[in-house]
Order: sequence, then C-alpha cells, then structure tokens
Amino acid sequence: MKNCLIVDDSRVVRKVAGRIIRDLQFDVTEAGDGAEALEICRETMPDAVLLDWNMPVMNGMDFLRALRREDDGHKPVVVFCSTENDADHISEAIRTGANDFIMKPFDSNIIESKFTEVGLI
Amino acid sequence: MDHSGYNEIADLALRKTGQAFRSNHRYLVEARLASILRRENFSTLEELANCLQARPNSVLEVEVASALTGKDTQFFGDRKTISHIVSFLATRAESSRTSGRKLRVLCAGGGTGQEAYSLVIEALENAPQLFEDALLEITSVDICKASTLRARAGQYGHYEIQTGLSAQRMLKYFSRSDNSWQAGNMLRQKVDFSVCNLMTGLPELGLFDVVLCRNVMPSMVRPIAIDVAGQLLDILQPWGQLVLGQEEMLPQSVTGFIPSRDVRNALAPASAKAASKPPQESVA
Repeated sequence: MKNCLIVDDSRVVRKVAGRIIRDLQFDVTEAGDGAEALEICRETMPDAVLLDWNMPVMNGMDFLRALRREDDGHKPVVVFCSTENDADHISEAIRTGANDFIMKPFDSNIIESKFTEVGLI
Repeated sequence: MDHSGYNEIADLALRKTGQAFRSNHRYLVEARLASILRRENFSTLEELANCLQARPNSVLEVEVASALTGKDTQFFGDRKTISHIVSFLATRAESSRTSGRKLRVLCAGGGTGQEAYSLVIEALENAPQLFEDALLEITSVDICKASTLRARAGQYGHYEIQTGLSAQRMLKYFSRSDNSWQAGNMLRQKVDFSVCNLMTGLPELGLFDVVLCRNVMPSMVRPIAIDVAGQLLDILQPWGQLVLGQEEMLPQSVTGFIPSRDVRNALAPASAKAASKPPQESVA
C-alpha cells in the first residue's frame, strides 16, 4: 500500500483529507508543519505528500525546497493544497518542484482527480 | 405525497428530450432543477409543475427540459479515449489534406464544453499539425442553452477546473478572472458551440470523421435512442468513428455499426470495410 503524508497545521483539514486519501487505499501519516514533516520524511520517505502552504515553524515552500535536497527527496509526489490559489502562487509552487496543486476548498473528486493526474492512482 | 407534479415534469422530459425518469428518480430531478427552483422562487417541484402547466410551450419549459439532461462536467473524462481520438485524427490528416477536406469532430451532447476543450488540449500537445491551415474543425452541440453559453464563454468554476486538469494545464490554457477560470483564445477559437436537440433532428452539419456522443443515449427511451443512433450514422464519413461513453452500448436493434478497430469504445459504420477496400476492377 502506498503512503501519503498530509502536512497541514489545521487538524480538521488533516482529518478530512486523511479520510479521503485512506479511501483511495493509501496509508496516511500526518504532520502539523514543515519541520515535523521533514523529520518524518528522513525516517521513511512517503510516496505522496499533500502539502499546505502557510504553516507555523516551517511553511510548505521551505519544506518542499528542503525535501527536494534530501537523498531520495525527489521521489515523493508532492501535491500542494492551499488557499494561496492565484496563478502566481501556483506557478511558483510548480517551479519549486511540486507535481500538482489543489486549490482549497477541495472535495474527494478533486483529490482523486489530481492523484490520478500525477500517476499516484 | 402528491406525485402529480413530479410526473408532469418527468413527462415533459420525455416529450422534449426522450429521457425517461422513473418514479424513484425524484432526487435526481430535484438536484438538476435546483438552480431553476431557486431562481424562480419555487419551493417544490409541484409549484414549478403548476407554473409550467399554466404556460405551455414557454421558455421555462425548454429550460427545465434541458436542465434535466445529464452533464459531463469533467475535463479529460475518459482520457485514454481522448488520446485515441486524437491519434486517429492524426492518421487521417494526410488523406484529408490531399482531398481538400477538413477533419471534422462533433461532440453531441457536449454540455459545458469540457469534452471539446479536452480534445483541443490533447491535439495541441500531441498532434499540433492538426491545427495547421485550420484542418481540424470541432463542433460541440447541446440541448441546453445555458450550458452552450457557458461553454462558449469558456468559464469554469473552482471545482470544474480542478477535475481532470493538472495545475500545469490549468495555468497554460486558462487564466483566472475573479472566482472563475477563463479558457484562453488558444482553446476558444478552436471550437464552435451551438444549441441543438438531438431528438428533433440534427441541423445540416455535414459529415464528420469522429462523433462523440458519450453518456447521452443511455438515459433516452429506446425508440428515441434508436432514432438518434440512426441520425449519427448518417452524419459519419465511411471511415468515421462514433465514440460512446465507457461501458455504453447502443440498443441491440440498431444496425449499421461494427466495433471500431481504431478507437477505444468506438463504433464504425458497417459499410466502412467495403468502402476502404479498393474496388477489385480498378486494381486489375
């Protein structure tokens, strides 16, 4: 079973996204900020990361840059999931190494469609 | 509960669009009419039915009937099929050019335009030569005027733009305007949208190399579906392809089609084999 790390400082978002992604047959782990997520990645690199942008301690962009510098850090498919959803933010995320971008709010159709788009399912 | 209002609306759908709604489809009818009910300040289907009854053949009647048709709101709803269609068109490009014909695609029941725009995107990315000298012509028709206007405007909401499109494609072909995403001219100039009811007959549209009619006929009553299938056969080139939805089949009594060898889920005119074979006498 593939593993997805959900990184978001909102417990509610982690819970909702977690439920949807478990239904897509993924094991799910959670982190509340980028630094915590990086720790988890250093232990076990996930197959997928669903990543919020604005978080305390370490934000999503800083996490993504750090992740891509790690050994095997190119492996996880990273899908941003943020309310920062103007074209500039989205293209910045893609340039920095995100594989796709979900604009909040999301539903199960959007997550399934985006995960299909990036080849996770 | 009084079902007379529901029954009247189901009857209207049958008369105008050939669609059959059974008594347990009330939730579907209510969902598809929700925005009209809200706009017109009706709290129940019965109130709407009463109003329709008082004004037969009104604009509202047409609007209600067309709102009851199902809408495919996904980009790349069946992505493998979209890719097969574009490959097929690419194989036909040369003979079309040589004979001075356009390569023509019809999206029948094209709804809010995602299907047609998906074909344009796929062709731009994988067979851009199809657009040289405007060789490829894509026409999308739908019974619903509101859908057709939206398709032509190329404006999509938050949920629509995120189902079937990657962020990369979204940024490349669409731009943000307020709360919606606007298809660029690169897409919009390549599709012609018009209103058309398949049940009352196709206008003079000419012949097509590919006709997509996905998830339209299964909701129609059999005699209407058979009639529509016959009309679609009439507008296909001898080598043409009729593309249905996944798992979709034509009613058994429809004749004139054979399974396609070129495009997934597609049917070809049964006479195609004979037509594509050179006549023996000309070889000799």
